[in-house]
Amino acid sequence: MTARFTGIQRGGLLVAALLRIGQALLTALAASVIVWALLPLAPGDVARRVLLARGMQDLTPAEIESAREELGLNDPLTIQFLNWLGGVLQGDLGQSFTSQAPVAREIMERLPATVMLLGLALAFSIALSLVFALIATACRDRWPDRAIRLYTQIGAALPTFVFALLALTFLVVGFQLGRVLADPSWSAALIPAFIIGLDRAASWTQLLRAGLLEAMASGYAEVARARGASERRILLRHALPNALLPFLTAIGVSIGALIGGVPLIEAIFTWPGLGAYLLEALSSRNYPVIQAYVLITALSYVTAALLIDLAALVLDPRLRDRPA
Amino acid sequence: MHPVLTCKGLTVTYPGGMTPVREICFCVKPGECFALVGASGAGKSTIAKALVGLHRRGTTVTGALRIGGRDMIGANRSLWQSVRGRQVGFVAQNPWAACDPLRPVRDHVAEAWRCHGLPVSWQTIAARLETLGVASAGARMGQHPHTWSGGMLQRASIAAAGALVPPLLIADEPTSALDTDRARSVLAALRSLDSAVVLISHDIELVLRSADRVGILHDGRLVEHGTPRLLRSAPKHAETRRLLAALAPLPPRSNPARTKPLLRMAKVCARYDKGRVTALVAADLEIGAGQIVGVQGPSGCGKSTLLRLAMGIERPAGGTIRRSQALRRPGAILPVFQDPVGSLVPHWPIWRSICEPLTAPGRPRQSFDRHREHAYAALARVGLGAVDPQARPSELSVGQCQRVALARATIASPAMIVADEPTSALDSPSTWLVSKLLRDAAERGTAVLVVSHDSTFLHRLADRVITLEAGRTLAAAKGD
Repeated sequence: MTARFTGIQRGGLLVAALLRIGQALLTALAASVIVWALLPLAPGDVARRVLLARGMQDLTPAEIESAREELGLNDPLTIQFLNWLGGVLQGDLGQSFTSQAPVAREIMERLPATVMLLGLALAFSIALSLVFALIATACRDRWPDRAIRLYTQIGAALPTFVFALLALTFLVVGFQLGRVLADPSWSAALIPAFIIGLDRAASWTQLLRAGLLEAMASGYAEVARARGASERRILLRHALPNALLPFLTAIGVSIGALIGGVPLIEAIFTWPGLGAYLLEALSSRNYPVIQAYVLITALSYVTAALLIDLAALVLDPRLRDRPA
Repeated sequence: MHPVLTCKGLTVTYPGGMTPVREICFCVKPGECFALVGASGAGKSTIAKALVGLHRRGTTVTGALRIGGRDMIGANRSLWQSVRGRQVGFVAQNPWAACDPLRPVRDHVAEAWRCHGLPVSWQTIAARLETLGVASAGARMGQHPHTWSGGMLQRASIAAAGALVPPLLIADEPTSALDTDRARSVLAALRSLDSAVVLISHDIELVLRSADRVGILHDGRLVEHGTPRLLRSAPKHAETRRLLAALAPLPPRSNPARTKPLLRMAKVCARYDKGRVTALVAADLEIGAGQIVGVQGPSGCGKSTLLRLAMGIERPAGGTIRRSQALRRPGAILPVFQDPVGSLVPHWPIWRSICEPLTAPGRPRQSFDRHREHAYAALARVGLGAVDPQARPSELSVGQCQRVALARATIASPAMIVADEPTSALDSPSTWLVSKLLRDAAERGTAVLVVSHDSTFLHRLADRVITLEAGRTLAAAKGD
């Protein structure tokens, strides 16, 4: 049902953007509730675990009870959540069960390396998929297109770590490129980031290529052709911006998967980021650390989705006419 | 004078070996309007594509095709690129689909210059749009296509097609997305450029009114051509006579007795999206047994909403709807849809679709054999006695499918038929047949409520025509 004449709120860009930001804040809040619930839902008594982590042996019930009081575990759940949320907002992510150090500090020591690797990987994957999809569309059904399609199928079928292991064996060990025992520097990040990017770009290329081909067969492309426009001009000026919208959405959705796949890649390349820290926390059931990692993942996902939706609002005028 | 376009023995062959267009011969003189008209599937669009070199890859075009003195058979991509826009302009059917949705309308027009590497100022574009009848073009051309009306956007497309003043324009159904009044003014805008026009259309009435010469296409061949007057007075080919039959008046109405209204809607309003979108503001409608009421209006004026409210599928947000007892039993209101093929169950033989209303609750159960007999009779009534009742919808033409849908709608003598754009997918002869069948249903006492953007069709068919504008009904206009 189209109703152009009346009733549609034409708030324009600002209202739509504010609404979307509000939605993102709500999503972040919901995510934080689930993340917080990890701790109360975890098996075993939290107070006992904290005391054990502090190195205390032979706990008496009185000691556990006073620890419960101290940790606020006797408060109603809503109060516990609000206390936790208040702490998180001030940068307090709790104390590690194993090292006794504040989780926030331990994470901040390792986060820059992971952000560096992820950022570079994201840049690689976007650049690679853009280039591959444009080449494949321009050379449709000729050998460059076929080669790229073969790559996208292999890439989509194989898990990232297979790429990583192959790269480690051939590029790093075989040809002495990069260093296996890496320190966090941009040059050392290049090879692992390229591997992650190459793997991610496979499915993104497939998606963007399909979008570009659809746009190249659309009515406006046909009309542009009938005006005398060259194929390259249609591809870059009309097809690419139109195909970019679903592509951006797909990027937003798979950012979560990208972050989730990091620990494995980091472990293979012995990258000193959050990955090893998380794996260790998982094996020792160090819940505050796991909680912090999940929170960071969720918040980056929400932020990425928000940025992409805002970009879509700027790109597509049709989205601005109705509030999202 | 040399013709701007010459086709001799033009034949188009698809990669599979099918030849949808065979041995077409015609030429177009400078400034004249040559129309190609024919039923759906006659090869009209294939010719349009071949004339601008936009046929699918693997398609071969043979014969002779000269545009502006250049031989275009076997022309390579760069020759076509230099000819398109400069020697031949193109106007597509759907103006919204023809515009890149992400760019403002002015970019769509400017592209006609820029893709040939020519500079153009916004003033030039605004002036071109103004001469084609776009009011305050300078201020509006910065808006995006989806906010423009179809008629205005089609003018922008015409401005773009005529940007470099090509001697020839190809217009593929340029007005079929528009209502009748807008279609006339857009066609006038198209003719106001000095270019010759090849007008491709399924609407024989429009073509006879506006073209200098008309060619009749049938099964991929040009079977007859001549001036509109000649074709009207002395049609030679059977296809021409079939198309002209669509202009014949419908059988006269036996004066419908003033009956008690079946359905009465007063000051009805409807909202969607939690009240954010208002589809109807205040609509009034009254219809009695045996009456035909048409509803016209531009896209988005609330026509389909009004139909859904009349059928009782939706509840109004305000106003009153009174239904008589006859409309309340199941199966009393039967719909006819815009897409005839999609409205029939694809894997059912058509007799089964036709008989579906007979299986409504409260009706006596009958054997399949009885149903099939009813279906034979119903098919004969809609003039499809020769069609196999076991056929699947995909084996029938679109026009035949709509007649099957009408057989289904009328088989159980419903109290009311509600038809939403029943002819927008049909060519002129099928439109005429559908009008006649709806008339027949009304003569048998069924109320008929028809929504259409084609006001010629509505005024010919209906006893009363209601105009919806921005969710309100305007004063009812009397039909013929």
